[in-house]
Amino acid sequence: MEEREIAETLERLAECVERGKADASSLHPVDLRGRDGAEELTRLLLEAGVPPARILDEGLIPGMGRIGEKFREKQVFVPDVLLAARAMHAAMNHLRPFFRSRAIVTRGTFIIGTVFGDLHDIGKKLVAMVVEGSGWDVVDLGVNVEPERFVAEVRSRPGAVVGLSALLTTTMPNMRTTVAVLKETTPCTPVIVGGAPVTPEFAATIGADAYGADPYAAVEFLHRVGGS
Amino acid sequence: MKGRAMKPSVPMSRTIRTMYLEFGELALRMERIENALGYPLRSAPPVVSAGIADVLRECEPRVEAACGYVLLQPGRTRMGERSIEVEGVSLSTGGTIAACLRGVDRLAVFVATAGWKFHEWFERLSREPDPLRYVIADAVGSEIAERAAEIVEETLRTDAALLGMQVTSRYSPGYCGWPLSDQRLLFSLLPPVFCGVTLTETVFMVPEKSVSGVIGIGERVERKVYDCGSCPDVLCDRRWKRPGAP
Ligand code: B12
Repeated sequence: MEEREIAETLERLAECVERGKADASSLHPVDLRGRDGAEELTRLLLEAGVPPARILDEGLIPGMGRIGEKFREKQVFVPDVLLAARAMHAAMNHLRPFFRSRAIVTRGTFIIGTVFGDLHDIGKKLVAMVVEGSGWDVVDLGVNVEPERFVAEVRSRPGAVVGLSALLTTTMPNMRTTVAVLKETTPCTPVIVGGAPVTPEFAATIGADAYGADPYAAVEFLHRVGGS
Repeated sequence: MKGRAMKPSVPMSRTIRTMYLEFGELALRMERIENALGYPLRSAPPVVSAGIADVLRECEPRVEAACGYVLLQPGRTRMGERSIEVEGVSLSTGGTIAACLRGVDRLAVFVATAGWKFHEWFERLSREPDPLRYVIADAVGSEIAERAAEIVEETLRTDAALLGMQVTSRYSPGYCGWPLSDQRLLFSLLPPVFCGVTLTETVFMVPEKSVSGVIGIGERVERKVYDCGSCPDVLCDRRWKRPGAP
């Protein structure tokens, strides 16, 4: 493949991710039916000898970035983001071996969980998926997570960044406790908090480093504070 | 006391009613689920609409939705500026809701839920590698709980009409400035595990797809659009929405 063709294919790959076109057989989006999807294009690029890190940086991540911008502008909604993530996933199946062989390195580790006393899963799960799609290693500790579990996880992954989620005002105090424990035991760990009732003011009063209204705020925060 | 007319009577005790809802009774509407996922009318991509149809089909045998109300004892309801006292329990509803409940004779506490069976299915989905289906199921579960809440409100309206009474809209802790911590007081007014719903220590209702609240009944009360003008919660998802509107 010539460089021009490679660049064009990377752009098509970015479009496939943005528009949620996973592979040739996927029926979505309607106007791309029958065309190659993220899966085929990634394979093509690898066969042409394009370095996996370039496929990630110039195809997949820009695609996820664009859908993110549209989400923030309310032009698209959560399902569209998930369709994009699905396309990204289809491509990643080809790239995963290179992560293992360290031909690509992730940007760093993000540990996320819903604080103890709170059982709401879906918000933090979406954050985890988008962050993963932006090239981070993500550890999702689930719901009802005790502060000690966050601490243990941070200790086993030095340099990790933590995200906390809560759904109700009555579980927000547990966010405060969790931040306090983290700041006491691993003071250098950056912490971002989010969830429906959480506000930037609350984040500031409990000593969190940032508040995020949506998954992309977590991605921006991660790029600011952590990773390689 | 001979000769002194008694007012035709409402029963002096509590009235409790629970309903187990058939899937069909919920009359779930596609466009409301699409809207909950963010899409304005008829703008959801076909893959999303098809996904909703699939989830509805799949979850039908797993929905054991229920709703019910406890119509509290009459004569023991006292209204304050920012609170309401019922059966000796003082609910700090805040001024917005207290104003909407002014003039009520009795208060009903209600619960509505998509039920445990749905909850278990939904939890299983969370571990499967298809997040789109999970998110759609989430919206469907929320809509089931909402519909069950609408049904309990409609039922109470019909029941109240038999007593010659009207009903207010429904109001929930965690909305309109009513602190969520009052859930505990609200649940103390209900029989244990009412409609299968319980409260955790952090006042999280389980199953998660559940709604709680109060509805007032009285001879001269009305069902109002939420009075959002005086409410500071500018980010509320119900702001200026008509009760029950999609
Ligand atoms: C749908 C909904 C429901 C549904 C489903 C609830 C559920 N938990 O499954 C139903 C109808 C059942 C319901 C019930 C109730 N609800 Co409700 N509900 C909502 C609503 C409209 C959307 C919540 C949702 O699931 N959104 C979709 C998910 C994906 O979003 P999310 O979890 O917020 O996560 C996103 C962001 O917050 C962010 N994020 C989340 N975590 C993190 C973490 C980090 C690090 C970052 C960066 C970002 C981030 O990114 C995510 C993706 O964009 C919100 C209002 C709103 N607009 O948010 C109220 C809301 C959450 N509910 C609220 C309340 C009060 C209740 C009830 C207590 C009412 C009642 N008395 O019955 C009950 C409680 C139920 C229970 N189990 O205890 C309040 C909670 C605030 C409070 N006062 O405590 C809210 C905020 C509404 C309000 N008053 O403004 N609810």
